[in-house]
Amino acid sequence: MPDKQTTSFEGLYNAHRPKVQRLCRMLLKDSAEAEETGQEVFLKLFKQYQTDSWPDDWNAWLTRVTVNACHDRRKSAWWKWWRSSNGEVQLAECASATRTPEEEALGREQRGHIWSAFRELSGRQQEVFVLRYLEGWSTEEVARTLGISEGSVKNHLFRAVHRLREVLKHNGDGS
Amino acid sequence: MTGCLEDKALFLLSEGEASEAQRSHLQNCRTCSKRYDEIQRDLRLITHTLGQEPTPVRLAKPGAPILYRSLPIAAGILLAVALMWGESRLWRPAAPSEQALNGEVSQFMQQVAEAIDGGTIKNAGTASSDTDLTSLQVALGETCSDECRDLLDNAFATNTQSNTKPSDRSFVTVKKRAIEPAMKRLVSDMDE
Repeated sequence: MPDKQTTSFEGLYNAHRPKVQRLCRMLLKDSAEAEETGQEVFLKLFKQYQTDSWPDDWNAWLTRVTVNACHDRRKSAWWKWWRSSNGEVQLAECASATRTPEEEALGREQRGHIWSAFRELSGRQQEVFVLRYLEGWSTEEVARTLGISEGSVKNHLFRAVHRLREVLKHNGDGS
Repeated sequence: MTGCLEDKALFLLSEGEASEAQRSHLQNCRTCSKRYDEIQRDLRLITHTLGQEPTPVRLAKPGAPILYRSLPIAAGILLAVALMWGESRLWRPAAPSEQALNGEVSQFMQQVAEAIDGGTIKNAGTASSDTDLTSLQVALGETCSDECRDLLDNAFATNTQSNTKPSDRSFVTVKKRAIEPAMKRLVSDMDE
């Protein structure tokens, strides 16, 4: 367990800020809303930091808190979702000049389609997909964090992957 | 091919959840093996796309979305207006039609005009003065002398003349002026 002598709040903030913001941007459609939710998460981190009950793993704790905060935000802001649901996803230009094999395989427009399809997934499917494939958590960890069964996690995962693969195929797969 | 694994079974295989029979089928079936590899490749592409930085920027589509977004608002406003209109229709008392109302008004106005122009008022005034004079005559009774009758006749005559010009003087004024001197004389005669 980390202690206060070796772990500063500033250190935690700097280490986890990019990841928390990326998670919020993935799970929320509105970038301003994602920013607000990220702030809320770090406020919770600060409060938790001041208590004596520190988690074993700040990374897992922050991921869990972020996913739950985004979940709550989506539930409370249905009208904002509706307002922004007609948006079109466009990929920003990649800053790096080098292109990975995956980027070579997929065109920019096709990546936009994948993002659009991801946005159309249900909130739970998005959460499961992000935790399982982007955060690399096990099915059991995802189930425990989200408070659902492992079977549900697998079902959500399958539906999400199935839908994303459909989009990939209909828009010309990368082969 | 019969016995080939479904997409979900192949996906669950990648999640480490599969029976021994399914695993052995995957090793022996070229089609399923190829499909499994496709799933893995697609999953890599998707994960890489969603995990890459910078994250996508969402831009609003111009034109159509604004229309779609305003549709529920417009529908709500229309519904509210319809409800208000229906409510007012429901609670408004049943009014006669405009045409019937106009007919009644014009008929009433015609009656008023006839009453004014046709001399109803004038006749009423004459009748009233006649009644007054008759009442006076009855009140005087047998004491009314020939002179008294002459005075009353004069009063009738004056009254008739004044009724020809109702706008110049009122009936009451005419009656007073005609009767007053006669009455004074009559009272003085009686005293004597």
